[in-house]
Amino acid sequence: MLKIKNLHASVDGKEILRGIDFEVKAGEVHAIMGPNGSGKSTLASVIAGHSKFEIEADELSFDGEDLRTMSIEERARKGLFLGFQYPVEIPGVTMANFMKIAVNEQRKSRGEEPLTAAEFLKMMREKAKVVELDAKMTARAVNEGFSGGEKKKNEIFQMAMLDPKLAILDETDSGLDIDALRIVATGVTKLHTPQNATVVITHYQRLLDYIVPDFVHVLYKGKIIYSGDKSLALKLEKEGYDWLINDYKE
Amino acid sequence: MKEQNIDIKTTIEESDYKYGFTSDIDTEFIPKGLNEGVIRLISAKKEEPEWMLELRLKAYRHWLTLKHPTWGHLDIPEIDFNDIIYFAAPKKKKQLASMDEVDPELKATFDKLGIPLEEQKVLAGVAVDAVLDSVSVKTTFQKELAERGIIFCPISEAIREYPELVQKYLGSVVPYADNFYAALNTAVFSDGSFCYIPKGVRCPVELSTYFRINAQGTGQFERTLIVADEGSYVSYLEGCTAPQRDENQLHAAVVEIVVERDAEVKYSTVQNWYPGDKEGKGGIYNFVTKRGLCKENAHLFWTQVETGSAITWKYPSCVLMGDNSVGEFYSVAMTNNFQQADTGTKMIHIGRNTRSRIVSKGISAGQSQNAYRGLVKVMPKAENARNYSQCDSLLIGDRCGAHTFPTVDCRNSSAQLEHEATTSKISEEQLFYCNQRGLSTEDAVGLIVGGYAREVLAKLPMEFAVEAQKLLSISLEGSVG
Amino acid sequence: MVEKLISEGLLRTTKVGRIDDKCDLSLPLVVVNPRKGEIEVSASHRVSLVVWHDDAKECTLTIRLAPHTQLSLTEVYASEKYASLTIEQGEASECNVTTVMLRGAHSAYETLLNAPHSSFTMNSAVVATGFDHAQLSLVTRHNVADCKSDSTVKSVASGRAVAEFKGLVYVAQDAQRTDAKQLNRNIELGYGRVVSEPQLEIYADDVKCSHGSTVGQLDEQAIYYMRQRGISKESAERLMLEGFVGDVVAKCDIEPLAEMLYEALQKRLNE
Repeated sequence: MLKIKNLHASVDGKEILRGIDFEVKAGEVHAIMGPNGSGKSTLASVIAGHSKFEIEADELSFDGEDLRTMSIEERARKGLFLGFQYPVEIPGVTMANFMKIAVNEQRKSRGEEPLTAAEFLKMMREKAKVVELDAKMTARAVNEGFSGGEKKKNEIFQMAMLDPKLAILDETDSGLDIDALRIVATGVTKLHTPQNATVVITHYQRLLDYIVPDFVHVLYKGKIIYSGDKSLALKLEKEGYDWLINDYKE
Repeated sequence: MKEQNIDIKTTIEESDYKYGFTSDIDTEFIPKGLNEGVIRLISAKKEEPEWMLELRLKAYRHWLTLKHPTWGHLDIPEIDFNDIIYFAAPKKKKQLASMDEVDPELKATFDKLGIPLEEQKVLAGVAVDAVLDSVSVKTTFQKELAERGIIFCPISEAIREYPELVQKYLGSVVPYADNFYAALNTAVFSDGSFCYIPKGVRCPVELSTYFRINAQGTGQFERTLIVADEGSYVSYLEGCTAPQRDENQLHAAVVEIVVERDAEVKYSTVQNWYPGDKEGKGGIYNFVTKRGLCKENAHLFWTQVETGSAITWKYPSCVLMGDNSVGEFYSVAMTNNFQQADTGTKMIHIGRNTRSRIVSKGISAGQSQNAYRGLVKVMPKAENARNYSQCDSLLIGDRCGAHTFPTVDCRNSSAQLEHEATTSKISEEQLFYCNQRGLSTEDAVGLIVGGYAREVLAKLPMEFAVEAQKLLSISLEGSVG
Repeated sequence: MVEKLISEGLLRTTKVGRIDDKCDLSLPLVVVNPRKGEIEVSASHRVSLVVWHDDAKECTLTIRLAPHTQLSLTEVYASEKYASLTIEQGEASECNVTTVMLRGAHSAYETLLNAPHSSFTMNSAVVATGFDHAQLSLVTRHNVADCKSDSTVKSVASGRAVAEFKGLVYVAQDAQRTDAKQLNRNIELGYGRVVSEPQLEIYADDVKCSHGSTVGQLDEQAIYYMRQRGISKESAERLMLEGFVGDVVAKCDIEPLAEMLYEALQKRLNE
């Protein structure tokens, strides 16, 4: 589904990703871990198509199509979803309006008819249940005045609405209390099917208690220096990154 | 609590003007009044070249066509420009060869004010161009500066010694037709400082000039020109304290700064001229035009602490002409009794990627009026201009005024500009808290005001920051009942 | 535009003069193209009033609020014109103004808070496109103690248009415990020009006064966020602009009017 070969990314001449190889297949759950500043969020932004970065790669494709020629919104409509670490506030734009446009743009790109207002409202009500989101929230402006937990729930709600093939969740667990974490993580698990895939970027093992990864990767100084199964996350939680970093000499 | 309020007021109002004394120096006058003859006389006394006299006369003729401006938030008594003496110089006994020959009265005045004109100042690493009334008396450090090619001398001397430099830059930032007082200043300026930093040179010391107003009924028209050539750096300090007077005195200085490509200039002012007495009698009128021109990548900082003068009217400004140039303005203006201040800055963004920052802290006490006035202008070609302005006011007592008059004019749609202003007072709770911890009300007020102004004071060079802090607390000093 | 709402029986036309309990206030009132005059509000319930401008004639109005009255005023400029409105507020009166400027009008407000415990809020949206020159000035005079004012003026200047805001919060001596806020936010696009003068003139010390002014563009992060959800860049930008001024319209208490104004703003922004 997602294929990345030898990906380099830099901003203002500073190289942040320094040769990433990464592949995600349908049905898989990947976790990317690593110390602060290792390039995790950059990787997510580069896949989503943020224009801030200069990219070089042997391959960067999604479902066999080269991502590099696609705009941010084209990637999104193809089924690529990025859950933001810091969801952006958009004053004056209601959640309902925002999502209606997003859903219908996606449908249009697939040659489908736009949803009627009634269909759309029904869909919103259903999907809101996935993350126990108060349906009234959809009348409010996007993320404006939302608490930290509400913002993250809202991200997963949007993921449910857009039903992506690949969801990359950037530190979705940060700033959540234990109840919100459970709701968000359970939501993600509910949405997981053999046809789609999830990449979670996280600092903590605790999220992986709910979202059990098939693969765990450690990103350090812009490279994936180690990959393993879910036991790696447990080991990292206990022993930190030092044993890996010490092993890793440039 | 009511009683405490009165305490603050008396604390502020009863602080006396600490530097209020006059010294008796033999002064040479040109008679009162203004006409072409007086201008020719000034020019002749200063042995100026012909072009300088021409410039003065042009400025004077233009000035005659102008009316006194009225846009300030100020109540200015009518000024009779023919009742002013336009030139007063301490009488030279003879050409001075050493410190011993400086007028002992003059030396004593400086000593009383705590200005280390002599060796200790040299050791402290500050070159001093002391201006008493209108003529520069003594310049130290000339030699050390000369070795680096730095010129720092009275502007009258520069006009004679470096006419090409002065002619090239004088009036290039503040043309004589700029405003009423710029025209007047160009016509009659008596003296001031000239400073030139050659290409790539970092001036090793903080250059400083102390201005005094000393002779009764003397208008003082200072002219300062600073040129920082490509890639150079200079920090320039200007400080003033003036002896007490009953009669109003007019001061209309012009400061021009040219910051060439990649150069950096820091201009710091501590101004504590006689503000008038508690009834609002007397005090200096301080109408100043200060402006700097920034070329590519140039950086200009204005920092000012204004505690003096009966009326202050000045806007140190930056014309950000070159791409990537930066202008910054930091100001603390304190007014007390019947003082009036209308001060602020103008940031004119012309080049691309130009940045500016404004931090203004006004403090009003007594029955004073304190206004911030600012302009942030972004011209059509100034892509990606950025400005951040913050203008805070602190009111002490319920008879004073604090005003904010900013103007934003943005003609480029890639600009991002932000202006914020707040108004606050020293709360009774803050004072009660401090009192409870054993601080006197006077100390508490000093502390709170110091904290409020800290962001600006921190921008001053070390030795100046100390002096500025002292000035703020002097202005707040007094008996607490 | 407004005729439609009147003919549908959603607004009732009225003339300048007295609005008291003898008036039928079952529907919001509307005054269309007033020229000159005074409106006295002395009803015991909240009055909802629309002042609608769609001609080019000059307008000078005074609105007086009797003590303890409440007024929601929506003023719409659908044409270029010069207009001035003075609002005088009695004790504990409450005035909420929503202004929508669809054309380059010059509109001058002066609010006199002449008795204690009165409060004034304003939300304005100004859309200047093409060669428009829109000017909104707002003088809020806190003449006595214990009053509150809170104004937000949002402008969009695009094309070669000029959007100008001149604001002044005046706090008289002894107008203690004044709480005054004034905010001017501008979005500049194309060759638009924004001029903003948010002034404060304060003669009392126990006050809470703040003002702010910003000039900027659409938030790039927000546009990135929307595009990540599959919304095109153009739609995202339009949505943001609509949201920016739409917030103001949402404050209008007459729902069908708010909807109509929102559509009118959308149309203007897409021109």
